[in-house]
Amino acid sequence: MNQPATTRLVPVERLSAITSLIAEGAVFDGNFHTTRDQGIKVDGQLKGNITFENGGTLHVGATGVIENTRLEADYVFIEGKVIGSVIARKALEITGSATLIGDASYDELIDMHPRARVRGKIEYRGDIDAAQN
Amino acid sequence: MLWRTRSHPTVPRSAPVPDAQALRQAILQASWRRNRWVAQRRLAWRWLLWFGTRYALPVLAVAGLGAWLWLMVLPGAALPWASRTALAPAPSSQPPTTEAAQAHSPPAPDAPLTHHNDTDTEAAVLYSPEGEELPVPLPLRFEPQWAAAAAARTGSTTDSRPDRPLVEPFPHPTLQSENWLHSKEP
Repeated sequence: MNQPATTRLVPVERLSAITSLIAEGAVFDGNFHTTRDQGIKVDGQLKGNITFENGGTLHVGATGVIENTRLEADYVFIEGKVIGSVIARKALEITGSATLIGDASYDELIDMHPRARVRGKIEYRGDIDAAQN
Repeated sequence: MLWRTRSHPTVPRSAPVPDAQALRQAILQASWRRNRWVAQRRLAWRWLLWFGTRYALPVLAVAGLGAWLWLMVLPGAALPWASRTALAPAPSSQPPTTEAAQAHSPPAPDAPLTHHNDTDTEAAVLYSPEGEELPVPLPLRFEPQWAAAAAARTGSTTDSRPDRPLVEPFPHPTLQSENWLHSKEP
């Protein structure tokens, strides 16, 4: 029971290093911004942007809802509902209980579980030719 | 002053005050428990919805259609082929052939008339779409004695005189009036 979630791509250590939490039932209206390698877990409702300039782990819980947002972090793990654009600089994992309405961009890795609901564009931001070699 | 020297602690000094790390761990573990339950429930519901629309719904539709056909179109027909055989054959517009007429040898005049389709009436019972029992249609058969009786009648009619009136005279010569005993005439 001490494990955060069953992940296939995002390291569990990253999810365990969460430093901020928006609890279930709470409504946060505003932007979250930091320059440090931290993490945030959203179990409530968030209306705004989340930006990690360096590093960063974003965990959208199964009860979390993020609307009208632009999320940017190294690791993004989505179990809830996100309406907006997502940018994962290292790894993006969308579980089967997640709903993403918007575009998603990633630089290195992506993992989408069965029954995940995504309506938008998935874009690889790395170098296509370099990835083939 | 007294209020400055005397302390009023609201929390006992012996009570453990959780630090930030312990509080963060406790909150995260509670969140993980709740998160796991909600995620598994939602994922199971999505799989169930997908399985139902993909497999269960077509099977139920086919089964429902079959049940509707069995109950409404063929009511009470446990053996549909038996009811078909019990039905009388459609009357043919062409006259019967001579072979078919000769196949039925005329029975003896004193032979009692028997119903040859008694077993067929027990074969099946037909029902209307509303579930009511329908009468079993009797098959049409050619009885040879009918032909003999019809020939005899036509022969007797040909022997009659042409000047004979078609209507019997009244009063009939073999009949007597009812009030002949009460007649005052000698």
